[in-house]
Amino acid sequence: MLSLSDSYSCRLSICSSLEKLFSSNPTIPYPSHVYIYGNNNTGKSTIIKYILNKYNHTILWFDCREIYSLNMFYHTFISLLSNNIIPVMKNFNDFIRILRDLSIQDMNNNNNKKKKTKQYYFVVLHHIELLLNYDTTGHLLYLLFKLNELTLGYFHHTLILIGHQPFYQLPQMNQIEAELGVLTPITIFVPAYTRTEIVTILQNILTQQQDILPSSISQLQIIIELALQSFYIVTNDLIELKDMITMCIKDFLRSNTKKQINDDGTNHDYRILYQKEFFMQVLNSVYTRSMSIPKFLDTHTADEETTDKSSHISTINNKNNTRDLPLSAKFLLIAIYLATQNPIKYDRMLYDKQNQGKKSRRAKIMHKRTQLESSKIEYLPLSSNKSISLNRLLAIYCSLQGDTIPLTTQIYTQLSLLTSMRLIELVGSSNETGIINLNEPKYRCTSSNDYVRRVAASIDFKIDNLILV
Amino acid sequence: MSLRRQPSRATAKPSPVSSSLFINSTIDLFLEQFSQFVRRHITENKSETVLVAGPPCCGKTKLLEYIFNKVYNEDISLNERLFIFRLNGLIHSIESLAIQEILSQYNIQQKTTNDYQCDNLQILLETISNEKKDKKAFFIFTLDHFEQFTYQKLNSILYTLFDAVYLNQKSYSILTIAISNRSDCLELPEKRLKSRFSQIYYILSSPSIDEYTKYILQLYKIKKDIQIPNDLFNSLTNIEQKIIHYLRDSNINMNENTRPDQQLDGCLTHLELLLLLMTNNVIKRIDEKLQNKINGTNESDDDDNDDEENKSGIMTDTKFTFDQIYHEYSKYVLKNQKYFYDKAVVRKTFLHLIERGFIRRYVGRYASVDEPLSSEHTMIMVINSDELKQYVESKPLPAEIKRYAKLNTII
Repeated sequence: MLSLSDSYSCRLSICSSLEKLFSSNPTIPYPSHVYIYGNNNTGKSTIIKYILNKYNHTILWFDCREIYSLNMFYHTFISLLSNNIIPVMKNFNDFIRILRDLSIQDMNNNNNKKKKTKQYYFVVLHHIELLLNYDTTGHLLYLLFKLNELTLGYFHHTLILIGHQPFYQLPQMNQIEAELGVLTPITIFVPAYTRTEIVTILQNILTQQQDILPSSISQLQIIIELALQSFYIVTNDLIELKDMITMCIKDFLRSNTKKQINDDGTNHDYRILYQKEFFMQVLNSVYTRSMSIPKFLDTHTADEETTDKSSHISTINNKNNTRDLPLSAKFLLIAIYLATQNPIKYDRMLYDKQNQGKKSRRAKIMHKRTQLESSKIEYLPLSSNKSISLNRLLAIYCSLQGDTIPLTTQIYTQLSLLTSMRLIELVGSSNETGIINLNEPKYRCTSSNDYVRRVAASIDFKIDNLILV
Repeated sequence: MSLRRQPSRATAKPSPVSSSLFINSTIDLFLEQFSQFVRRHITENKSETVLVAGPPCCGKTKLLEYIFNKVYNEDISLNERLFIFRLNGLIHSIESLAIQEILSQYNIQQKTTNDYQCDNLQILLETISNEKKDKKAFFIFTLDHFEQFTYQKLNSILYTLFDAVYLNQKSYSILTIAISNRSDCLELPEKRLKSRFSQIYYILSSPSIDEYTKYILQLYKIKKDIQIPNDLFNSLTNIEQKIIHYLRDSNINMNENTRPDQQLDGCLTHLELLLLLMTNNVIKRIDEKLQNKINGTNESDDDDNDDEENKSGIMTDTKFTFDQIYHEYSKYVLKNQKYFYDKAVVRKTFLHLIERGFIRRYVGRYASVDEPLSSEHTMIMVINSDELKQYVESKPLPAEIKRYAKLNTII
């Protein structure tokens, strides 16, 4: 017996309700009309096929994307029932007559073979909206619902329609309801996958594809989560997401084989690779179908996205050909590092450029440094991992950036980028109750000392000038 | 017994419940009267026309089939002489198609494969009746969706069938039963056809939900008691299907709204929701501009009505273009970079909204349905703003979206 793959484990409740509808029952008949709807690629047709096959039902399956006219639909319908030469059908009337004749023929054959059970069909129309677009009279849906009556009761069937819209929004429903009567099928809604479900499904699918398996499952998960951060806002279509994320993973593996990674125990390269600009390029080209996946891979890589940025990033030193964070993200990282290194009470001295006084800031820092070294008190080494409040972090960041670059809401996206790349970490603040204080979130720097210094060096930032100890 | 315009009140004794048909006192009376009417057509050899009207799916066709079966079973000799042809106005309103269908049904009834080449219904009926030689043929025509036949001018099927009442044919007689959802369908035919109609009609009504529910449960030998909620769109078919659904899957919610306008939950991405809110905003501004223009020319007459419309939350039928929405989107992303995407991405997202029925395109008479979305295509929004409001307020959404919805005071 066929079984649903693990990808459909989140559809168990819908599966079970459909199974109950279509399981054999000696006393209760099958429902006459069922309408299943939901977003694209949510598993509707797969589940229906599985359930109907499970009970060995006779299925007449029509994918309306492959039907280009009503005559083609009639022809396909009859050809599924009969191997004989099909007479020409010009209209619905011809279709009904031929269908009825075939059903009577079937019935007579069954009687001759002394079969007690009547032949029962499950007619499935997938993407029903496309078929209804060919209907010029506006009556096709109504006539399909009345198929049993029109064939004088000889064609026993259940009609299953699969679409995207609610039933009463289907084309020409207003006309049908006004003129002919209200159609009331059993409707089942299949919701779109949630983000958690998509992560699980993609992990299952992608780990089965051996050629793109990364070295560890955790890396795969991180890549999927990073990509979903950009993609999920735009689309929740499973196939689209799968194609785009597969492409991102291929790109990652391809660049991995080129580079020799010095594994110093903190392999952060994969986090640096997937920057937002690369994902945006994927959305703008592959998602919109303006470029195919192979062409995109030939012309783009996450490396190149760093060189195509706007002017304020053009000062990035690319001598080492390393993949780079956005400039604002780098300053944020430096700011949190400095905040962790220096006590709060010296912030004004270090970062407030206006209250210079007679002594210059540099002079003050040197003086304080000697004081601290002599007293050997009150410094916060990185290993203490103290969390820094957001306001303090932003204040230091603004001081480092200067007045020319205003503080915008984009800073929050940079913060979330750094968080998702695990360079910083959002932590709780209350010592007593352990509940995160959302009024003032706190962050902790989880990047290594060397890494932050490398980042500062890449933008010619002299970080040592602002460290007291 | 005279045939009245309305079915008589329940005075007759109810007959025992038939296993295949729901019968109450009113239906029983109809069955009795109509059976007598059909028998009279056969015994008196009289052509007649009659209308059976009633709401959709109240059992008109089923009751007639029951009567026909009963008449067949009562007199087996009628099998060779009584021909029942069922035509549907949606597909058989043209004479050539009706003739093909009549021939097909005749061959099924008689188990023959005759292929009479007739262009005319009258000739076909005479040909069939001549086959019976000395015996008279009785034709019963049921014309379902009768109003569809009347939409055609000079409908030769109707003329042939209605003229038979006055022609006094010796070889056959025709009983024409018009079936319709419209009780005013006798006003629809042309004057000449109206004059030929006998003005005898029955108006049926659906039985009560409780009665019919009990009958269905008895039919399937179920001892449970099920309460079907009173829905405006309940028909006998609908009630039966609900019961079947419940019997198969007892976890379903019988009180569920059978006509949800839209499924917002489990459907929309953040960008799609944002675009819907922007569309709402654009429509509101267009309406306000229009209202200002109207108020500028006609003072204050429509103010009260407009207030009521705004309060009800029902969207007006205002058309907009994709360019207008994109303009609103551009203004938003200038201030909020988080949802900044290329125009092609926004267009594709918009197409998904159209595909899923949240927005409907106006397609011109000569425009292809598959034509790619252009800036000039006009659209209307299908979703109710109250529903959108409830959804935005109740669901955990990003703060930027909630802020946009609140600040623009659209909903």
